[in-house]
Amino acid sequence: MNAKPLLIISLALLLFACASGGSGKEIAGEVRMLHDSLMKLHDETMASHSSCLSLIDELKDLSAAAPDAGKVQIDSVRTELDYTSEIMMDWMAAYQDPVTEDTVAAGYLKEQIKAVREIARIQELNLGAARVLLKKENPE
Amino acid sequence: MKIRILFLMVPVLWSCIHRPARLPILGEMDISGGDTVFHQIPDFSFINQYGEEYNKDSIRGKIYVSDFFFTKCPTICPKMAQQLLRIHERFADDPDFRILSHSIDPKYDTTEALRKYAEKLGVGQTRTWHFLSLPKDQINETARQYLAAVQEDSTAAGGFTHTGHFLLVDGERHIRSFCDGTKAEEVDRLMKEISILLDERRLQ
Repeated sequence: MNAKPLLIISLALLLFACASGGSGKEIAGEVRMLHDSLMKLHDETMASHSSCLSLIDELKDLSAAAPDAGKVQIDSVRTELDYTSEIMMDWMAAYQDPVTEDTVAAGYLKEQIKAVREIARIQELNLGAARVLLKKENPE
Repeated sequence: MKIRILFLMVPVLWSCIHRPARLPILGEMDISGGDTVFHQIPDFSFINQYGEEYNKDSIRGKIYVSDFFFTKCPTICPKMAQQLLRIHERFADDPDFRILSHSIDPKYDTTEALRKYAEKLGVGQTRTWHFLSLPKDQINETARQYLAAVQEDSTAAGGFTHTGHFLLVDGERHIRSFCDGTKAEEVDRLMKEISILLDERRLQ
């Protein structure tokens, strides 16, 4: 019996297994890295979240003391800030930690990073508008 | 006779020397009519995970640990919950002790959600640990009351929604200590301080 074809087939199978194993490890590493980035981004965004709640209260007081003409603008900024605080909570309620470490999970996490970046952008925009009205300086 | 008196004196002296340090009262203080008025957590009334009203009368005279959290938080809240579980395990049988976890997410943390969260943590039947739902318009003021003391003593970066602080409150609703609820070694220290407060209360 010629052993050569069998040896070649075995080697090919072994190489294929090694190659797929390596790629699987790479994807798992990427998923973990994306997950860490997402959680870091989430923590950074949440750091400003309580500012939204305190500025909402301050805008409420400002609106109560403002003449009718000024109330509209203050209330509109307050509504936007309220919306900002809600969308972060909505994101967390909808977010599901991936249970697998594959390309689907990596894709999902990339989408979530995009979503939180957008929330952070909206939050900063609305916090900025509120601080202008309240004549507060940006803490950074 | 002298020897007997000496023997009686030894435990008295020992207890004087080894009396645990009294914890300070934290937060702003005022002088009113010559008296010092310390910061006190004001009256409150919230709904717990059983759908019951939980208020100042529910907590009267009790020593408690307070924190702010929300059930959907994917990062620090699970770490805090693990540390609160350690505190619960150690003090759950003490009738003078409570844990009040204040949810800052009224939209998602309904009574039902809080009950399920407690069950998930394995404390579904607890009468020591109360998960309280805060109305949106009271979140900021409540957190301010609790964390005013912390903010004086530390740089509470990130605001109250994501600091992970545990506050230790005495039977008069004065804040006596706090720690980073994500760090086991800090929680170990807080547990020693809970024991000090419980001893203090029993001596009253």
